[in-house]
Amino acid sequence: MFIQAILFALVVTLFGNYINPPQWISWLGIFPLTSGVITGLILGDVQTGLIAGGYVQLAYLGWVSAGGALPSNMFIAGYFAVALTILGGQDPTLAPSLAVPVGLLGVFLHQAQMTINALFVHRGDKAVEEGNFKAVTFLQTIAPLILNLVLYGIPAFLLVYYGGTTATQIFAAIPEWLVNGLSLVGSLMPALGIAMLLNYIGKKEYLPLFFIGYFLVVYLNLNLMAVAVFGAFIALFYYYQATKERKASNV
Amino acid sequence: MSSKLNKKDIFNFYFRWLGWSHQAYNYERLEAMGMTWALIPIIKKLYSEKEDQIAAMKRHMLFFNTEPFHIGIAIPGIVAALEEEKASGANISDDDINSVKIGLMGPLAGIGDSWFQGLVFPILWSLGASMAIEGNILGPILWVVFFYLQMIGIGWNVFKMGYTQGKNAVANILGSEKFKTVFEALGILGLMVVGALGANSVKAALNITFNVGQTPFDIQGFLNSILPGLVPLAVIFGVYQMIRRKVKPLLVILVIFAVGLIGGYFGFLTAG
Repeated sequence: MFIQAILFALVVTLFGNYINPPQWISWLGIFPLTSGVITGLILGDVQTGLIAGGYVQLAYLGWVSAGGALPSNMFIAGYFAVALTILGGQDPTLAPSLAVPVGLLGVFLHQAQMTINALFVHRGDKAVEEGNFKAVTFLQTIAPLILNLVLYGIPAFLLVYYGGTTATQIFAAIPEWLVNGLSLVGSLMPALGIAMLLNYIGKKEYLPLFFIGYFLVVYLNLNLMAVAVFGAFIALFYYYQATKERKASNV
Repeated sequence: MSSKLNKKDIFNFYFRWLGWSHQAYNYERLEAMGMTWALIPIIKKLYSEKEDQIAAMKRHMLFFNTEPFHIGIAIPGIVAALEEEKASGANISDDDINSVKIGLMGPLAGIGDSWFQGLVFPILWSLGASMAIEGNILGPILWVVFFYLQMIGIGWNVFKMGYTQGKNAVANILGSEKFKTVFEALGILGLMVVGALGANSVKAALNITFNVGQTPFDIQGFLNSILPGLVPLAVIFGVYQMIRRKVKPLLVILVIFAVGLIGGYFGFLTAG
C-alpha cells in the first residue's frame, strides 16, 4: 500500500485543486469525472473509480465558482470520496454522500492555500525589487506546488496508507438502513447541481427546453448524446431565427 | 507600430499565462504574480536596461483577476501590445496600462465565466458523467478532449485578437449582439442536455401501497400511468425553488440528506 499511497499523494498534489499546479496538466485530473478514473487506476479498480467519479461529478454539476470563492472543494472531494469507496469496498452510488463532508472540510484547505500563497507574493515583491527574476520563477511555479504537497499530499498519503482497514471497519459497522439511505441521498443529489444550473442559465422563457430534454429521456429512453444532437439543431434553428430578426430590426 | 516581438514571443507568453496564471493565486492580489511571471521573457526582450525591466515587473505585481482561459485572456494580449508600444517610446504610463487591465478584467471575466462554467462545464459534464455512471470510459475522455480543444481554440484566438486589435475592438466584438445570440443558442442546447440528465440521473420513486377496499393501490404505479418521471421532476423543482429563494447550498444539502435518510429508514422513498 506504500507505493499506492505515495502515488495517490503525488496525484492529489498535482490535481487536488485548480490552484497551484500548472493548468496545462491540472485540467486533466481536477474534476471527479477524471479523478475517479485516476484514483481507480492507482487503487486497482478502474471500473468502480469511473462510476463513482461519475456520480460525484453529477452532484457537483452546477457548482460555479467566481473570483476565487469556492462553495465546496469538489476537487479533493472527488479524490477522497472515490478512494474511500474503493478502499471500503462500497457501492459507487455511496460516493456522493462521502464527497459532501470531504468537500466542506476541503474548503478550509483551499482558504489556507489562498492565504499562504499571498506570502509568496510578498517575497515576490522583494525579488522584483532586487531584479532577481529567478526567485520570481521559483515563487510562482515551485513554491505553490510544495504548499500543495503539504496541504493535500500528506492527508492523501495517510488516507490510502492507513485508511483501508479503518474504512472497511467503519462501513461494516454502518447499519443497512443507513447504507440504503445514503445511497438514496446519492441518487437525489444530482438534483442540486441541476437546480443550480437551472437558476444560472435558465431564463423562464427557455424553461420548456429543459422539459423537452427531460421527457425525451423519460418517454423515448434516449441517451444524452441523442438529446444533445436534437438540442444542437434546435440551437442552430434559434440562432438563424434570432440573427434574421436582428438584421430586420436594424434596417 | 514597430514590432519588436515575434510570433514565438507572443506564443510563449500565451503558453505561460494559460498554464501558470493560477499558481500562487491568493486573496490579496489574485493573478498578479501569474501575470508578472508570464511576462518575464517579453520584458527582458523589450527593455535592455535592468531598471526598466524592474519597473515593468513592478507595474504588473498589482491586483489583477480575470477569467484566464477563454475570454479574459484578451487582456494579456492587450498588455503585450501596450508594453511593446511603450518600449518603442510611446507615451504610455504605468497607470494607463493598469487602468486598461482593471477596466476590462471584470466585464471579460463575466463573459468568460458564463461561457465555461455556465455552458461548457454543464454540457460536457452531463454527457461525460451520464456515460461514466454506466461504466463507459469514453465519458471522461470526451470531456477532456473537448474541453482542451475549445479552451485552446477560443483562448488562442481571443488572445491574438487582444494583441493585434487592442482594447476597443475586443470590447466591441465581445459585447456584440451576435456574440450574445451564440450564447443564447448554446444555452438552449445546455438546457436540453441538463433536462435529459435530470431524467437520467435523479432517481426517486414512492413506495407506498394501501388498500382500497380489497384491492391494493400502488401510488407510484398510478403516477407512472399518468406522467412517468413525475417524482424525480418534483425533487428537482423542489430544490430549484430553494435555490431561487437563495437558500444556502449547504442547507439544501442537509435537506437532501434528511429526506434521503428518512425516506430510506421508513422505506416510503426508493431510488427508483
